[in-house]
Amino acid sequence: MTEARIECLCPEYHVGDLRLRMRRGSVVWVSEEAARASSDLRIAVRSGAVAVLYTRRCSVSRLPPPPAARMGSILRSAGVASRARPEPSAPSVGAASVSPGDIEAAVAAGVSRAITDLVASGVLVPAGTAAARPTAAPASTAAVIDASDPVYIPTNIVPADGVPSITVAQSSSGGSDIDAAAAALKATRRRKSTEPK
Amino acid sequence: MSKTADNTVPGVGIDIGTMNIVSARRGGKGVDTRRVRDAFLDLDPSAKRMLKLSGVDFFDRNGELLIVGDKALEIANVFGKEARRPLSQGLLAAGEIDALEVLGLLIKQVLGSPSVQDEVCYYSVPAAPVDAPDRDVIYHRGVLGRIVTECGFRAVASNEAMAVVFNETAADGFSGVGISFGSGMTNVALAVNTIEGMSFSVARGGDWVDAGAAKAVGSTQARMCALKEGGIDLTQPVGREQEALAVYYKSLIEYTLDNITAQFARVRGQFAVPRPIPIVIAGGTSLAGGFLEFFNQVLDTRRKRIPFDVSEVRHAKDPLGSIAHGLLLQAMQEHE
Repeated sequence: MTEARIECLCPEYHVGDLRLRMRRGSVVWVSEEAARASSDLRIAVRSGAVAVLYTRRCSVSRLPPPPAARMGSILRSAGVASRARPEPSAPSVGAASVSPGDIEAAVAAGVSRAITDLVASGVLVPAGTAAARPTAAPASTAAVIDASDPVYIPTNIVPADGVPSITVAQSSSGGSDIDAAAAALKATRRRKSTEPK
Repeated sequence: MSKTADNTVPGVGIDIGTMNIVSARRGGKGVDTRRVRDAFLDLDPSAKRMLKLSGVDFFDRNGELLIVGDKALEIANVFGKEARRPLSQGLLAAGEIDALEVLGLLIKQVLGSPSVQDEVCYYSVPAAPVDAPDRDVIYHRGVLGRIVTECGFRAVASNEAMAVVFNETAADGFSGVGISFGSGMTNVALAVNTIEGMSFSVARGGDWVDAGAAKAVGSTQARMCALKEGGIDLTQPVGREQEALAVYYKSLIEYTLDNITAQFARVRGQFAVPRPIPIVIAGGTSLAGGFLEFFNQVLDTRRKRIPFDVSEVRHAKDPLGSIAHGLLLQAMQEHE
């Protein structure tokens, strides 16, 4: 299903007919029909306040590493295939009957597919296998992957350790200009927020 | 309001460009700026001894020697090679996977570590190029945001030309046109009272000037770049090569001004400029000798077509660092 990904590019913006109040950097997904029908959104795009991308969200999203408990339940569920599962209610007259063995086989196949997907995405590492690249972010960075980020953005780009030294040119300039500009910007924004609408 | 150990307002701005990466942070004695060339060079392992003897920093990546930063350009000349750049025409090339690790390394060195928890880092992103619709900025913005986040900051993307407006037009009520003439592209933004009315980019910059002038006179891009940086007066070029450079500079400025007119026409119904506003110029490409006077000469031929009144044209106080400073200004607001 195609949806509209709306990203706010200005400090703050209100899209009235969609009832969205957005701040810079925030991303909201709305249905394509609602986005195309919104005249306020059209004005926002033309003025450059927001950017809209009509796309289909990827069905496989990168989830944070599951906690130990969840990982345990995933592993346990892989062995569920042999356990007795509640049988479905008896089919109505005329429908083909399904044996408990067929149901167990179908559940086992589904769990196996799910685990394969988790391994392929790097969330789950098979026992005895070293991960090709560390998937957990270093504790100091506390990286949080936004669920709205496209999946193809790579992770672990910045080397965590063993960073070689690089010569960087450094200079210092007086801070009075930037302090004055910061004060003026703050005053301008405060004035705008207190102006009657 | 949180403060750093120097008792200053936290926040950092970083301008990630095709030629340079520049960061700005409010320090105890003023604004601390750090800069590094956005380039790297890969060499054969046999060059290791020579690099050690010359004291050049390098690192080994999967059996390949990599030199990054300013030294990459210097050593490239020695070996007769071309330094590689993670960005092309202002944007990340989706196919340059190798370059991502280098870019992450360069940005980490320039940014340093956060001075407070959850410190905000405003990083520059260009506007989508109007003359290259197949190049979007979504991947570029996403990757840079991921790198800055992995460096430990709260990443916020901001238009690079708007950063020029914020840094240079405080006395004009944060109203004006900011033009960043970069190496890979030229970015433009127009704002009135901090409200962005229009922003766009064109896929022409210093590299385009160098390539065009080199082709015109049968020279090399590197030679044109050296001529440009070594001393030229665009208003009085001497010799074929300087004249070629002047011709391409004129074309770049005309192209930018024509696009300002065209793009403003699209937003005219929704945005008004009630008073004369300044044009502020930044970016490394604008450092060529006589650029400001040259720009004014070209503007005079097109002034009537510009759909708003221009109060003056001026250079940014620090054309190379203005974007980083403007981003720092915005980042500091988040902590106040």
